[in-house]
Amino acid sequence: MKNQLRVLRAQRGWSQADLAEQLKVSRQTINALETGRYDPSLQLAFTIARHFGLKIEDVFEPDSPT
Amino acid sequence: MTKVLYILEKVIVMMSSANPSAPRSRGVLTMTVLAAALSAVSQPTPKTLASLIASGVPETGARLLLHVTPVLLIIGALVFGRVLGRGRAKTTRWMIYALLGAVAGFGTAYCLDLLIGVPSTIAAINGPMREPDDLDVILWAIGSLMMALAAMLTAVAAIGSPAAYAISIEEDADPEAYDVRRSERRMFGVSAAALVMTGIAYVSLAVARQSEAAAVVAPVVVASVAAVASLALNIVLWRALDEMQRRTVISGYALSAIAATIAAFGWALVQATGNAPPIDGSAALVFLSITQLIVTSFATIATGHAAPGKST
Repeated sequence: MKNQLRVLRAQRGWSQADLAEQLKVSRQTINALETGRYDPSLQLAFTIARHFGLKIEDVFEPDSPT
Repeated sequence: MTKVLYILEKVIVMMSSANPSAPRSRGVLTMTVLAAALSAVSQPTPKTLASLIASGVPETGARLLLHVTPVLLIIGALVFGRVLGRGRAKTTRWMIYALLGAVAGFGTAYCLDLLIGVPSTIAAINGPMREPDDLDVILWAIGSLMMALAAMLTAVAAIGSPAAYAISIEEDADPEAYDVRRSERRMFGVSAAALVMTGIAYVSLAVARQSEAAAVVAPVVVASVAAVASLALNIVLWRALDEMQRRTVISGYALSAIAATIAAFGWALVQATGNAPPIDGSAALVFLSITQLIVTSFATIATGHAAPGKST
C-alpha cells in the first residue's frame, strides 16, 4: 500500500520522531510506514488521516492489482 | 522472550545506518575499549598458553599475545565487516558482521578464559563447582551476552543519544534513528532490566548444573526468581509496544516456532538412527533460545522494520 506520509510530514516540518510522538507510536513504525514495509491497521490508518485533517484515501492508496 | 526481538530491533537500529551526511558513530572505539577491559579481567586459556610455551614462546610473551590477540580480532572483525559490507543491503551487512563476530568470538575463547573471577566468586559463596561442559559454557555465554546487551541499553536509557552514537558500529549514523526521546528511554530501561534478569536466570541455571547436589537449591531459587522477574518485565514491555512492533514480535516467534519444529523433527530422526543423543531440558532451552535469537534477528532485519538508513 502506498502512502503520502513522508510528504505530509515534510510539509509540516516534522521529524519522524515528532510524528511518532504525536501519534503515540514508535519512530520505527513511522519509518516502516513511509518506506512501505508496513501496512497499518485500519485504526492506525484512520488516526493518521485524521491527524493530518485528511480522508484516509488522501493518505493511503492500495496497490493496483497486477 | 518478547524483549529479545524488541531489544535486538533497538540495538540494530542504533548499530546500523547509512546516511552519508550524518555524524560519525563511535562503536569501534567503544567496542575496542570494552574488548580491552574484557581482556584485562580474563586469564589466558591454560591449554593454549601451554602449547605456545611448548612451541618456544617465552611465558611473558605468550601471556601478552593471548591478551592482545582477542582485542585485535574484535577490532579486525568490525573494521573488516565495514569494508566488506560497504554498499550492501542491511541483511547482508549483518550476516557479514555475524560471521566475522563468530570468528572473533571463537578466537577469543581460544585465547582467554573470560571473566575468570566470576565463577570463582560464585564458588566461594555457593560451594565448589565442577568444570563446565559444552552446554554450561553456552548457558554462561548466553547469560553474559544478555547482560552485555543490558549494559548498552542501560547507557542509552541513562543518557540517550550520546550512548546510541557510542554503540553504533557502522560508518555513518542517521540522526533520526539516534533521536532517543524520554518515553523511549524508559522503554530501554525496562528492556535492560528484563535482559539482566534473563541473563541472571541463564547463568544461575549453569551454576545449578555445575554445583554439587547439596548446593543446587540456592542457584535454582535465584534462577526462578530472575525468570519470574523477567517475565513480569516482558509483560510491561509488551504493553508498551505499538501495533507494528507487536506484529514484528509475533512474526519473528512464528518463524522461530517453525524453525524449531523442523529442527526438532530432524534431530528426532537422527536420534532414531542412533546417531544423536537425547536432548535434556537445558539443551532444549539453549536450542530454543539460539533459534529464537537467530530467527527473530533475521526477521527483524529482513523485514526492515528497523531501517534507519531509509529514513529521511
